[in-house]
Amino acid sequence: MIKPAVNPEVINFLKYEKALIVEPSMPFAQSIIAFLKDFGVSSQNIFHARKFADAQEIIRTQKPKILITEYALDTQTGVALIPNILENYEEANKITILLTHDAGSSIIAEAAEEHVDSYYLKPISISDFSERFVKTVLSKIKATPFQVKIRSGKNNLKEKNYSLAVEDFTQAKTLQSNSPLIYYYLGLTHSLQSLGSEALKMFAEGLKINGLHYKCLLGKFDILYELKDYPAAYDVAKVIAKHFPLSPKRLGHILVASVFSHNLEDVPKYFEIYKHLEARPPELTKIFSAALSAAAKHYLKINNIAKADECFQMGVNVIGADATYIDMIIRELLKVRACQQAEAYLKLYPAHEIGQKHYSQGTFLIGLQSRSDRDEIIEIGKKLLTNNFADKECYLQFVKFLVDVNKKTLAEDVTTRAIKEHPELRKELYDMIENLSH
Amino acid sequence: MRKPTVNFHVYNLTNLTTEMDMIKIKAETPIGLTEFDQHRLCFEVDPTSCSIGQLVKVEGIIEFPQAPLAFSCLGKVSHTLKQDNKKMKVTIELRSYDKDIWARFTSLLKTRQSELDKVFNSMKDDE
Repeated sequence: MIKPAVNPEVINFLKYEKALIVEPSMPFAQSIIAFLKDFGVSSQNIFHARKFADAQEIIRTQKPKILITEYALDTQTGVALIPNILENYEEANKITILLTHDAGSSIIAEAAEEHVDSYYLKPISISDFSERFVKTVLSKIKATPFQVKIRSGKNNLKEKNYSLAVEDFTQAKTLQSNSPLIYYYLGLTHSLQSLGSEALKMFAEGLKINGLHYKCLLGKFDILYELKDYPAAYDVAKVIAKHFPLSPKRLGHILVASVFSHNLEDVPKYFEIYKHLEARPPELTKIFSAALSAAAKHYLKINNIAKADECFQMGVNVIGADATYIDMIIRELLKVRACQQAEAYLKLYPAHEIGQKHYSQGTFLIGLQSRSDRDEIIEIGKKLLTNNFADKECYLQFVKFLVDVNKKTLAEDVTTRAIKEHPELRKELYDMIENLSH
Repeated sequence: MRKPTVNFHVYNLTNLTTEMDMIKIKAETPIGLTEFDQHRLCFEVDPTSCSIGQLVKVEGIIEFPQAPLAFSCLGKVSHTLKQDNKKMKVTIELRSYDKDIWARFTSLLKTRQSELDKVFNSMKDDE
C-alpha cells in the first residue's frame, strides 16, 4: 500500500467524521478506505456502497459528512448523491469528492454546477490524492474572513433572509473588492426575489471584473432565459459554450435559446458536444431532436436540401429510429419534392415498424411523388385504406392522384370514406372531383 | 470534448524465478492500475496469483492518447491485500524498467489532472 502524507489538523478534524465511499470497484474502494484510515477516520465511521440506492440509504441513516464517489454508478451518477448530502449538511461543511476515470467535459460541468468540492482522476497517485484531500478539508475547516462572509450570506439565502444575505455579501466586498463572486451572489439574491433587472446589473458588474466569470455568465443567461429574452440569452450562451464545457441540462437550455432566437443554423454545431456527452437525459434528447428538426425545416425553407438532410440525419442519430420522427422527416422532405432523400429515410424504420401505419403512409406518399407505376400506387393506396392507415394527407393526395389519372369512381369512393373520418375535408375533396367532371 | 482514458493495462504477470505466468488475462479485459507513483504500481489479481517478496515481470500497454506503447518492468511484490470480492490488490515495487516511459506516463496523468483542475476551478470559483 502506498502511504499518504498526513496532516495533524486534518486528522484532528476527521477523527469523528463519517465517510461514505461509493465505488463499484473493490480495489479502488480498498485504496480509499486505507487512505481514510491513515487520515484517522475510524473503521466504524467508514461506509462503502457499490450501488446508488445503497449509498442513498447510508446517507439517510448514517449522515456521512464526507462523500467520495465514482461518477458512473448502477442507476444514476455519483453526483446525484450530493443533494442527499446537502439535506444533512451546509455546503460549506460537507466534503464531496468525485473520483473517476472519466474527464468528459460534460461531467466537469455537471460536477462544477452540482457542488463537487474536488474532482480526481483514476488511477490514483496517493501522494497527489493526499495533497488534494488535505487542501479540500482545510478549505472547509479554515475559512478566511471573506469565506466566512460568503458562507454566511449563502446560508441566509438558503433561509430566504435576503436582506441579511445582501449585508453579508456587501461586507465580503469590503474584504475582497475585486471578486466577481460577490456580484454573482448579489445577483443571485436579486434573482431569487424575482428582481431580474437588478440581478442583471450585478452580473454585469461581476463580468466587468472578469468577462469570463462562469457563475456570472450563467446567472446572466438564466435571467435572460427566464425573461424569455432569447436573443440576448443566446449571446451569453455562445460565450459559455465557447469557453466552458456544458452539462446536459445547460446544453438543453442553450438549444432552446438558439431555436427561439432564430439562430437555427447554429443548432447542428452542438451535435459534436451532444455526441460526447457521458449521459444523455431523455429530456435533452427530446429537445435536441426537436431543435434539429426546426433547423432542418429552416434549411428547407431556404431551399438548402443537403443541409436540411444533414440536420434530419443528426436528428435520427439523436432520437434513434423513432417512427413518428422519421414520418415527420419524410413528409417535410416531400413538401419540397425531395423524394430521393425522403426515400432514404424509409430504410431507417426499425424492422417491427415495416408494414405498420407510418411506414405504409411513407411508402404511399413517396410512391405518389416518385411517379411509380400507376396501378401499383392505386394498390398501395387501397391497402392503406383497408388497414385503416390513411390519414388526412394520404386521403387528399390519393384523391388528387385518382383525379389526375382519371379514376373518377374510385376517387368518389375514397372521398366518401375520407369524409366519414374527416368531415372537414368534404369541400376540398369534392372540389377536386368537381374539376374532373368538368 | 471527451479525453481518452489514460492508463497502464496489465496483460501479463510472470514469476521471474519460475518463469511461470501468474495470471491469465484475456486480451479484451486487461487489468487497469488502481494506484501508482514514481516507483510503484497497484492492481487487482486473483488471491492465489502471487505473494509478498516474489520477483515478478509485469507486461502491458500504456494507453497514451496518440499511440499505445508496450511497457514491461521487473519488480518485487511488496504488499498484498485480500478483498471481499475474492480478489487481491497487489503492490509492486518497480526495480528495472524504462524510467523515461514511466515518467512520461505519470507526468501525462498529472497533466491531465491539472488541465481538469484548471477548467473545474474556473467554473466553480468557490470563495
